[in-house]
Amino acid sequence: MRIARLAPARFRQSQSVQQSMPVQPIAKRVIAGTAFLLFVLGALNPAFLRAQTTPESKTTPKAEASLEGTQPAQWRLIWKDKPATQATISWTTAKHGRQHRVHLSEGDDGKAKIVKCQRNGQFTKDDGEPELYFHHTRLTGLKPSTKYRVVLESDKNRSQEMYFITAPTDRRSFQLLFGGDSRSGRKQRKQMNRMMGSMLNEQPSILALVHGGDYVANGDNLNQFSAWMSDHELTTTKGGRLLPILPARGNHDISGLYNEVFDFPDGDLNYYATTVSPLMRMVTLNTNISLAGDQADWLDAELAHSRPKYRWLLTQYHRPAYPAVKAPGGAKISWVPLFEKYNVDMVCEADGHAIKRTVPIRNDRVDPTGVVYIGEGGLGVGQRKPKADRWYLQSPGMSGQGHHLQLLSFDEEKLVYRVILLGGKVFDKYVMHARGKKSNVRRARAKVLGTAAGN
Amino acid sequence: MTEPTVDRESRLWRAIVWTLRMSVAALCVGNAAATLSFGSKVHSLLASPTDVHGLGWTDASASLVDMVAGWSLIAAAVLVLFRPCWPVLVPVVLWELALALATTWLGGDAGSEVSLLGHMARMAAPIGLMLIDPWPKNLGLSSRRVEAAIWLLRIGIAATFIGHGYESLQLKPSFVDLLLNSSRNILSWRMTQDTAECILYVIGIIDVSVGILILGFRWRTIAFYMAFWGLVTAFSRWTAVGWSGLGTIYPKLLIRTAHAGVPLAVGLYWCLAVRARRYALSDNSVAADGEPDPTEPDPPEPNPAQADPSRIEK
Repeated sequence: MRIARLAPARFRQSQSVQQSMPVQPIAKRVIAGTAFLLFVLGALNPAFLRAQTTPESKTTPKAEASLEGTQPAQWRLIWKDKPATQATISWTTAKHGRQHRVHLSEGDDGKAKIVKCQRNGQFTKDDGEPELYFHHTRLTGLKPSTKYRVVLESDKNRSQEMYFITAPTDRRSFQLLFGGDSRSGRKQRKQMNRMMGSMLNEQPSILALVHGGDYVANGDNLNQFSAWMSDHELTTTKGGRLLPILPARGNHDISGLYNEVFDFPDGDLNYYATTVSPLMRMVTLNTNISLAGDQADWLDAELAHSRPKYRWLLTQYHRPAYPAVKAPGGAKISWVPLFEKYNVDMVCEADGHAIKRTVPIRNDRVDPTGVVYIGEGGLGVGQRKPKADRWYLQSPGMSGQGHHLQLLSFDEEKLVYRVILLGGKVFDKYVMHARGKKSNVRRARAKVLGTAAGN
Repeated sequence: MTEPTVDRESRLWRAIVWTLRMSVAALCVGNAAATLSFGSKVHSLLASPTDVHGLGWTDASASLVDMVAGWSLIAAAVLVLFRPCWPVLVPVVLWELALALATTWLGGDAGSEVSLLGHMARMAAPIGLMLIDPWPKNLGLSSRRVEAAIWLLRIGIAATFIGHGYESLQLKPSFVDLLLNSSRNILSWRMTQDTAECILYVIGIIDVSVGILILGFRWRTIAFYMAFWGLVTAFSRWTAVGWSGLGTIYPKLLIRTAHAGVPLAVGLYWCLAVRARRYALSDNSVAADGEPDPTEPDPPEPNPAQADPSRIEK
């Protein structure tokens, strides 16, 4: 029995290596002086001055798709725990509307059946923000590895016909995209989304996007989330294939808007596990809540249950345990021991705005049997220079910077990991062999130790 | 009329000054280590794009600011121990203020909206040191200046405790984890999240209460309790990660020593005040029935010069 779950009710609300108050007058003066200093420093910066003249910085980001009346827009397909048989298709309208439904057809010729929206509501908004309405249709009883055509309808206004493919229940090979931090750099975000759409078109074995969080800069700002949802439409292929998303909450994704966008219940804690295939289980965690408490207990049980059943066991969350830029997050204390105890294969992290792949780590040191940490976020956000001198980023690990996403290819024997830069260049490639076989352990050990010796 | 100058050789007075010196030095080293190792919030603010309220600097320019700030803070730490002076302390205050404002401005962290409150003790410590240990030395030390310094320290630590109390009442997740991990590491007790949240709620109430009390009353017990609790919370960063985690956690620990140092300095000053009053009473041959009551609400602030009248420089 799968033990993926949502929040407790009480909270409801290789290895090949590519590269490398009242205050005293003096305090008042100090505060005013600093504010002035910061203002002057910022105002004198050429990039800032340039930005003042660009329309994007002056205005609220506008939606990519037309949000008018009850015309469906900002569609997104969300996967939670059982994507072989379930999916949630969601969209946005500018008016409340009365009737919202999905025309669902199986295959290319199947007869359409109508599924009514189970959850409709108004997005939480601040004064001055537009009224927008979300519509979530939870599709159940789907067949695995099957194409479904969908048309979204709100009050007789229909979207174009699109389609999606459910996750497999056989042991075929497949691919996943991983990325995070699309909270700023909207131009680059759109480019990354278009690239994902192209990749999905060219490589039909891509099943979904695993998003490591930080969709927007201000998670309580509806305008920003609206822009993100509009931009997400660009991941849809020209032929109309939708790219499902497995969302994780980032530190900027505060407020209940996140749950409204991705159809989590109000007050949900946003950690869950997804059976992407009989080969692979993805555990999504939330670094915005307590890591050491109930979530760690749940993770312990989840990993104990999943490890014997799945060839590939991965986790994703936002704040890194082994960061390329910042200080280690709480995951290092609360979750890393569990990852190592249950031999998680790979951990996907975001937040740092860089590119990284660590050496295999166990007990805080290089170990061929250890866990590899990848990611750090590059779906649009400006990139930072990684601290390349950290021990876990040394060869055979790596670090770098550039807008990017990770392409993970799974089969019975190996996991091939690639970092794809904006433009399509492969920046890093890494091959991981399945755990459990002695030959694979020996091979991994030789690679890691060999590279270390070479250094 | 010339203001009397303070005898800077009095033990208690020296203890106050050195408490603040050590706190500020530790604050500087902690901030320097955090900035140089992990980058600062100021860096994030400078390097964030303008469309998300950043200043749009390049990563290299922002990193240069961090590097200059980090090494300057190390130099400041050394200078503070030898001779605190305003050219060193003012930049320390400004950096701390910039960190607080950047955290609030950028958001993205639980409690970032009250970041300025949390940083107040860390700003008050260097300002207080500037006032009570003036440079150049011939500036002298007036009772008014000392009074202002102590009030500033009281306001600083009160704001910090109220800010942290508010975050505790909000059940800030990282605070819950400090309790859970510390109890596991120190007591080998696997506390449940429910228990940790209950304890945190009580801590929040106490923090807010003592934050208010230190503004209204001159109770040494409160000041020393705050110093003790400031030290406990600073060390909780370490106890939560265990011995092996000290290498990455020590900047946080050092930064928070001001949360203990500031109330300790206030508490010591009130001890000095009680002693001064006792001297004054005995000198005036007033029949005192027993110990002066330090919990008496707000008598006039004593002149530190009276701590030992025989030593006042004429």
